[in-house]
Amino acid sequence: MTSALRVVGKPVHKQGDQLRATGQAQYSSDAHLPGMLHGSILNCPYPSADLVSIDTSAAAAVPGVKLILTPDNCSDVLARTYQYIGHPVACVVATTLDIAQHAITLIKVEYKQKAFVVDPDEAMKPDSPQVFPGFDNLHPFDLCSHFSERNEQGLFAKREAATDYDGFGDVEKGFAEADVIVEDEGYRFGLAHAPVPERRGGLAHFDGEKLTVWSTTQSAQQTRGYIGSVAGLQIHNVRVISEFNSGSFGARGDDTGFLPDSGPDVAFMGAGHDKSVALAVKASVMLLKPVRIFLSSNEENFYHFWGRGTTYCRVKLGFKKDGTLTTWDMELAVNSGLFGNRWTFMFSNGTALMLYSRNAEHVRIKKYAIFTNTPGQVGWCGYGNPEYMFATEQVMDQAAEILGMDPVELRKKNHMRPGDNILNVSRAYAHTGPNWLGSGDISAVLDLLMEETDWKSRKPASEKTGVVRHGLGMALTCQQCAGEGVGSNAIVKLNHDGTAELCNTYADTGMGGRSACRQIAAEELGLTFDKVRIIAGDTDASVWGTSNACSGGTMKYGWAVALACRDALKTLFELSAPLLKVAQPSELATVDGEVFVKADPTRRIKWEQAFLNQGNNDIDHTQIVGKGVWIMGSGPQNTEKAATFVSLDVDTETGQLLNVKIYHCADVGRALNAKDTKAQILRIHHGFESVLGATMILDKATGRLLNGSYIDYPVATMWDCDVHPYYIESGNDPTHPYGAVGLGQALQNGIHAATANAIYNAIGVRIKDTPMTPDVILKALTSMGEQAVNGAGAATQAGNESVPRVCETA
Amino acid sequence: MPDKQYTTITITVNGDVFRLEIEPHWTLTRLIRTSLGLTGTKEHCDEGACGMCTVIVDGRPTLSCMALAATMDGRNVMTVEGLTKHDGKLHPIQAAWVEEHGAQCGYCTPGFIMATKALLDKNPTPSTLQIKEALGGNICRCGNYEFIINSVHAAAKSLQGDQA
Amino acid sequence: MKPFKLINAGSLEEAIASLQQPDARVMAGGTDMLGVLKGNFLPQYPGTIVNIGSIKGLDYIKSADDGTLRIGALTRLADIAESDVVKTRYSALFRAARKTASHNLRNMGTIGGNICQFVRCWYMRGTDNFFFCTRKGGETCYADIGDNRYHSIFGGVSGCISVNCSDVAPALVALNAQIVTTKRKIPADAFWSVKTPGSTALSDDELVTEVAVPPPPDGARSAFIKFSLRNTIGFPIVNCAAMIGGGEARVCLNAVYPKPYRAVLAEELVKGRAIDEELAEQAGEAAIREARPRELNAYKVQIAKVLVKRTILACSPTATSGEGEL
Repeated sequence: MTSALRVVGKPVHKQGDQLRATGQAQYSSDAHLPGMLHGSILNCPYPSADLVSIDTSAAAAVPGVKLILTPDNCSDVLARTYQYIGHPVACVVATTLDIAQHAITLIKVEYKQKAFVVDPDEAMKPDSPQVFPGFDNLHPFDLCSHFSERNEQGLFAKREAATDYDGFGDVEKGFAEADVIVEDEGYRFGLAHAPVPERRGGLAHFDGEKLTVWSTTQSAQQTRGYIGSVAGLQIHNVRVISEFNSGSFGARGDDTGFLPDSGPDVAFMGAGHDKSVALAVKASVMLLKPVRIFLSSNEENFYHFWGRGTTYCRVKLGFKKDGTLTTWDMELAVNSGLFGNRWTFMFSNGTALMLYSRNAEHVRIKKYAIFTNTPGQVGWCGYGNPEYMFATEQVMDQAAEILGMDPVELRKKNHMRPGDNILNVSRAYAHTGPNWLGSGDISAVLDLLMEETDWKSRKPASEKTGVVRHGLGMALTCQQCAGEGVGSNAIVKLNHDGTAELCNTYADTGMGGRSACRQIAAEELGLTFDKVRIIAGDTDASVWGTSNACSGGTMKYGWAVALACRDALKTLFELSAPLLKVAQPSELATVDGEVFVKADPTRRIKWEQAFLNQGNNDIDHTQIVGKGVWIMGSGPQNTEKAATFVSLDVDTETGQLLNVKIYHCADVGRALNAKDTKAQILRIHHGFESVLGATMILDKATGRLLNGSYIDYPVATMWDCDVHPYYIESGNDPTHPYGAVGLGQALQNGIHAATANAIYNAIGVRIKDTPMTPDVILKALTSMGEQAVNGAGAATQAGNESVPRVCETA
Repeated sequence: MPDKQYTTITITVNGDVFRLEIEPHWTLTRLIRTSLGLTGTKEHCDEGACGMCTVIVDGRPTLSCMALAATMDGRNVMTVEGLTKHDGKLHPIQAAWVEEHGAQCGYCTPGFIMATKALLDKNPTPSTLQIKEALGGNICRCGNYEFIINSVHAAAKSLQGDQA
Repeated sequence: MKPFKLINAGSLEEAIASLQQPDARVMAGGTDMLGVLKGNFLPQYPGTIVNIGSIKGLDYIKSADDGTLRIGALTRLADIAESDVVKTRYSALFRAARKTASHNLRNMGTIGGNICQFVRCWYMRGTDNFFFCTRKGGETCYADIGDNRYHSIFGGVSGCISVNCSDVAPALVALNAQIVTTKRKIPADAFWSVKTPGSTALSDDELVTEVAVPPPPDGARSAFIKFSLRNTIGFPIVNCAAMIGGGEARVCLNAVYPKPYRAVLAEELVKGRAIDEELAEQAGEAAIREARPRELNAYKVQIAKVLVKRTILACSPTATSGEGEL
């Protein structure tokens, strides 16, 4: 099959790129309608407050103001209790945006300010104000998963709900039997904003029968349901259009804006508490006019969510003398802000159980949410994993040093192989039977990067001198691309002229997923890429599919597309068989809009002839329609596997990182398009920004975000690092018709630890904070100097309050 | 709200002359996107720090969000829509973007393309360092920088070829 | 942006007359002023903006007969960063212009606007005037009790610990430039009023028309180094300009104090002496002798020290030009 591929794996121009380059691509924020009204949202300026009174009379008197939404007339969207700065209070809809924005300033609101906490350390103290009254801010996660009943292959057949921890085995026993135990703690990940360009919002138009919404969503089908519930409409009367989307990065789920604010267990991934679309929908339904509401400033874009959360993390690992990792014990607390304790945790910690599941007999992962008066985390690539892998992949490095092994060799000894357990703890996904790694060759990934970075000539920090010191570090990473229970529908329509249209809901956020679907369809139908169009940005014309979040679009959409094409070809061949005088349709094949007899390719007809064999008259060709339905079940799971190596120089006088080069290699199973695949890896740039300096800085006294602008919040530029993208294709992953796996999550998981390991290799200091700004590195260097003076082993483990505790039990 | 002060300007956009009534606080971005309906120019940070709204004004790369429309009387503006030739063919820079995968989500693309046009008009054969200097104010949130640099080199080569 | 009245001035006279209105503010390239207006952080939102970018004839770079470099106030930073005469003789200014913001902004921002830019402090600049701080007439410096990682390390001015973040300003101080106004010539050193951070020595009816930079003394070299998180867009965490040789030694830091900070103690050390590593190191130590960092910005003291050392070394006759030439 491989050798015969005509479109899959071949270079094609990414779907929509010509429109992007000419400015013709219509993003949701580009949509305008005649007679459109504009909305502006009043945000609560305090981190915790109750509404005492609201007087909209002056605002309502402004000529041009058409509607003011408040908790009084819109209680299902607007709350009376505010738990973070930016929490929506009211919304003015007017003939122009200027009028709406002016009227907002005339609304008189009396707030009762309440005690609040934005700092996670403060929040954990017993006397801290409670973000959710009645709940401690340090909240144990209680939707955990225990795995048991290993089968003959060592795969867990059973996943049970538990309230105490995720894992399996008996860690106390594991540590008692371990030869070497390595433990460390104190890792913190600074709040980082998810890198979305297009501001969130939507244009809603209810004409009295049907509601049409242009929305910045990557989950059009799911959003349709939420919009319907807010609008009081059944979903067949709701149409969501999201033709072009800017980068999603977790902030395009579009769900919570429609859910009422309440307790600690509500929020889902996605939009945070931005309610712009919900308010536009409400206003349009009330006014029967098109209403456009988009966030009005970049600062507002920062208000409603972040992408990575502050974490406390403790890691304790047990090894055999030969480096076999047998026991994994971990405790972490994530700043969950106001999003409560559900989704971040569910998604984030399958990975810890997976990456080194090969030899581990005992695993325990205990998780806490820290509630603060801040928004919360959206599912930015990695979704919780970068925070704790920042710790785990540094502790693995420490373990390698203690065990006297090369860090890469230690990973090679323990990383998962095809057939090993994939342990998804998320209850968003089912577990109906053993799950295992479908494909992959992590050792080959490591070998490639060792070669590219000249890893073998790497020297320890103790041999380095001078003001500027070079370091090389690495981290291993993985992430499951969604899990059991997700999938999609697809419809393919064959036209008599040898073209086809594919309908599904693959959101176009720039990763090339729609191109991949077109490639699969073209391959299956024997057509060239240009003969297939994809219709996916309009729920009126597309069919259901799970949100292509979790970089799982490849897995969720691939098989449904292929099955739809095969279904259509079945009909095509049935219609062709009598014309080509063969007994069985299976004797036929098609290429370039012609059907031919496999045994005698000279016997062939054009598609058009087959189309006219349906009892139709000769001007009505009709179409041939195929459908595909695919839901992921138990068995092999689609999983991203990769490694990140970082080469850098540390300026020991200023604490600056210089000449940063990032080498990232993923095993993609199969690259459907080489450039799309490499482009996806380039996204590691925005992971590196949270190494360089990007973190949301909150004023502790007022809770205000101090750097909600691209001037003060250093988003990634061309200058910050050079990215060298690599991939290998180890071959057919059974979860995809052409063997591909998802790409885009794991590449964010290892970059922070790999950089910290490189810094350690340069200067012998462990960095346990992100971002790794000059002040952090200078501070670490200073304490290294002090330790050196005191006679401590500066080159091995210094610079922080806690150092790894090593215990040799055997 | 203070009394509205309207002002009339004459501005050339993509070769066409427009006489427009505007208000003093309108940015050039707003004029381009709202008054003229040219939505290829994107609005993101609104503080001059992302480059997504870059257009060319009298030959200079200009952040249209940081320019008041009312200061643009008599000026000559080119947006991404002005690049495509009248025969419908892509401008070599646009073609290079498609060929070299310069866009991921594409939201930064029009700004990058206009900054590239301004660069190549002055310096037809820029080095990678010169590209980074000229485009350093343009942000791609997808992080597609290596492919963007490839696109600029390819565009330069293509434009040189056109002249030969 | 909230509405305002706009006057596109046709001449300096018209601009000055327009500025007599009590709530009027002047705008040149607009890159700083639009930030002020969009952020709406002033206690009183300007009612009138006087655009001087529309005045003809103030956009030039030329060498006067006496060798003085004369730069019109409305000259774009991009033109300074591409000028051969600036590059050859005024290295500190060349590099400072080149390192300012981004290429796009350098094509909009003018040298006159750059040296008149408002100080930076994320409390003072908090949107919708959220923080009514000492700089605005309030009683609290929120940075002093809050997050001051980017603030002054040499104490405050009138209780304000904001920083002047111009890259060009320290270069002009080091090069002993004169700021020419509609009324007088002001030495760069004296241009930034000490009493009210964020303002200049200009009176309400006075505009900058030109920056005049004398030829460096024979044997003098100048240099500029900027330290920031990114190599583009961002403001400096610390920057440093120096001109040394020919009997002169002028060293100026910025982003460390509400106005450009002359490192006088460092200048005294190196004046008239041959520059070497040890002397430069001592000068760096001297430059920060009077530093009084706040809770979160002691690291800036270390960076300032290193920058002074490295900038002085870059002025030595044997120094290579450093930092990749473009």
